[in-house]
Amino acid sequence: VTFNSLSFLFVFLPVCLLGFYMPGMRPYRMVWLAAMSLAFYGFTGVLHLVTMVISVVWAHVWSRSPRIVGNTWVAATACFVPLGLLFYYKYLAFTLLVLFGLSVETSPVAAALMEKWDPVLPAGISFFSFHIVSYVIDRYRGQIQTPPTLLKMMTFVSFFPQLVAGPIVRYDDVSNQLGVIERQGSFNVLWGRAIGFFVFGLLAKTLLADNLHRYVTLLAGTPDKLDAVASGYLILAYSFQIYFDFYGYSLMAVGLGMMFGFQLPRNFMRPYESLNPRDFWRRWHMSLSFWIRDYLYMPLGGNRKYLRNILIIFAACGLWHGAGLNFVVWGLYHAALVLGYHYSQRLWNRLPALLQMLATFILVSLGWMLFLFDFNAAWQVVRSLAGNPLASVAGAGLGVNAWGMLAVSAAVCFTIRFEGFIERYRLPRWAEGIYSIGLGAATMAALLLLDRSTDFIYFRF
Amino acid sequence: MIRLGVFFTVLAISSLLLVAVRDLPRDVDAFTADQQQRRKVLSLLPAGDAIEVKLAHAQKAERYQVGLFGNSRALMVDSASLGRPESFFNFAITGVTFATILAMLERLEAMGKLPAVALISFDHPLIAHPPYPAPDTSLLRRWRRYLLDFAWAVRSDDVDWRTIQANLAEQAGAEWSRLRGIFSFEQLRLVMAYRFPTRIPVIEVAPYRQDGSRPEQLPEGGSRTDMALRASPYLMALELHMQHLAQIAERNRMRVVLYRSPVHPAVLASAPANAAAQALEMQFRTACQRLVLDCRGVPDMGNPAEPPYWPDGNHAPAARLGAYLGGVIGEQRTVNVGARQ
Repeated sequence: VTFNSLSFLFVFLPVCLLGFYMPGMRPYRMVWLAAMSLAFYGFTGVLHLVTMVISVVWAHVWSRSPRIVGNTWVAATACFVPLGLLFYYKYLAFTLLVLFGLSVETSPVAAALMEKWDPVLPAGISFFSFHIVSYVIDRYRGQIQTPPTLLKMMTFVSFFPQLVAGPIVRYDDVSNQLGVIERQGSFNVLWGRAIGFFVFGLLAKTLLADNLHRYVTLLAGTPDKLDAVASGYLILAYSFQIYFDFYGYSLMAVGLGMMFGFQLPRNFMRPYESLNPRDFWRRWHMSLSFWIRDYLYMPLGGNRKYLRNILIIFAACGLWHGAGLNFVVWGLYHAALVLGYHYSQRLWNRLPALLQMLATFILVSLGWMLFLFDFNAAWQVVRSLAGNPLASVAGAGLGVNAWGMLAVSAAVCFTIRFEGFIERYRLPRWAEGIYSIGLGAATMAALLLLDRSTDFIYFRF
Repeated sequence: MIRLGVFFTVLAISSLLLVAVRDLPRDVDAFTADQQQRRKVLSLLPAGDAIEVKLAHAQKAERYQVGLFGNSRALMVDSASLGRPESFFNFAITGVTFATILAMLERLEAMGKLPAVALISFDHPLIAHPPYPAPDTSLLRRWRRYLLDFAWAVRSDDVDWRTIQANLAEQAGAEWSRLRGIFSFEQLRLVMAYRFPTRIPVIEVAPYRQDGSRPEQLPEGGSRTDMALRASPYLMALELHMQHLAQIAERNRMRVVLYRSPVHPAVLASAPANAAAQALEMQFRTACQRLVLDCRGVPDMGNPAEPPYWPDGNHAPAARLGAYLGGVIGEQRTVNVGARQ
């Protein structure tokens, strides 16, 4: 059950909303929301559900007591199980391989180890672990005065719109609405806005990301045989694919949150229009950037040890995305971009804005290749941009549809402001009708494309 | 800014349009010489569409002398492999169950187009039986059928609740698949390709033949024996279905032959004892005897070491099965009517 499936749209969501808003359900809304969220996660596997529940219960038990405030040991103990499980599932194998200097490609021992012992990563474990850790640290800092009940905390962590791929929510972001639900209070839901967010997210995923995925898959199978045109296409197409995939998910999450009265934080602010690499990280996956800033960068000393801290936080950011050297390299690549900008900003800032934007976009897009491939293959693709004499898959093989898709994606990315359109833009009444008809038709088109829709890229993290 | 009333009205209307467009046109007979492209598209569409198109053909055609009913284990049998009977049509469709075959026979009866001889392939008990079907494209008809079966099963002492629950789950699953089919771009594209066969390209695939059969792909160099051995312990309402079959046969003086679909001898020899298969066989035989239906055992398909070879362990080559069925047609047995209980 994912947001881009008919079972979610036709069964899970209606049942969830019906139960939540049914007359007489007000005292049980919190229970209902937690139960449905756990059921939602339970579809990914019972063991994974148990993993999440244990993490929440452990953290809740240890952070309930007022003794946690300012007590590093209690806070560390509260984080031990959630982070321990995250480490076990995501990083243990990688750590062992790195410690012993083994490679799956060259070492039969490593290959055998990975084949025999390879626990399936619980979906979204990095997201819910960060939810829990942020809660524990906020308790430690005394920012959460009254600890929530276990049910309230379970609802906060497991709330299905943000459970599997964010945005990374802090307790403070949702405590008000959780309080309203707990007190059986009433609240307003802007249904038009909520549906608008959800539908635009669905369109971004099915019409743009999924269509780009077809061409990306076509080229990604032979990274060593791409010519310059095909490599360029792949880099751009994947850049737009990952954007619309994650952005689409985030819009849907915000819309779903609104349907239950929650105002989830925004994750994107036109990141590909960033003027420099530092600006990019204030606009891309903002909830992760701000999490790292508040819970890692600042405690490390912030700007006082800029070079060291930037290297640390971007390496951590890379590792957060995945246990692999390619993700570490990707993180360090971004660290290099940010540092490069930091030390050359006088020069950089003198460039025309369009050039700054273009350079940032290209540098970021090149980096995404490390999400798609291992280091060697990513390097091959980037190197092919300069022209590969051994090329056998020509970019000319890409048809009009492929280039058209890329052009449409670029046009939508750089011209349409989804959030602003939904929240601020006012249409005359007659145009509202036309807009609603168009949106209904587009939704139907998106529904028709669900049967070939792929998993969200960020589900792996 | 969204006017929710307008938005949901558009969604509702377009959903209804989809449902309306999803039905294939019934006025076209796809089994004529000039409709090869439509038959190609049909082979890519779900079973429900093939049922409707084959029944639409039967409505337009003269009443057939011989009709073959079954699933993929009978679909490849063509007129030539049967020895060219006077008039023959293969009503078999991949994936259908006995209940679906019964539903097709009921509709053919309503049209007055039942064949004089109905050969019905009944899956071998060792074969994984497909789930309980939603055997009709009409929502009302298939739920009426299901509720009749359900009521019968509830009253029956032989049917346990687990079987009833499992079948209800399968029926619900089939309904869900249908809904997904309505909201499937790929299926919509195929439906459009069926409606406008010269304009929308589809992948190259062997089309149905004019006699309703589909060509098989035979292996070279030797028979294959791969197949999944999974038997259902009990088919819900099989007795009721066979009783309906016997009544249809009697009302229309139609000769019915039920035969067990063949399984490769090597598979049979190596298959371990299977209590579920034995129970299913007993259920089938008991019903046959009680209703005095012409039920045949597993036909002898000859030496599998000689060509034509078996494509897998449970699909006999058309030539071998056709020769057997041709022999059955040639038998001068009387119609199996009377002595019903």
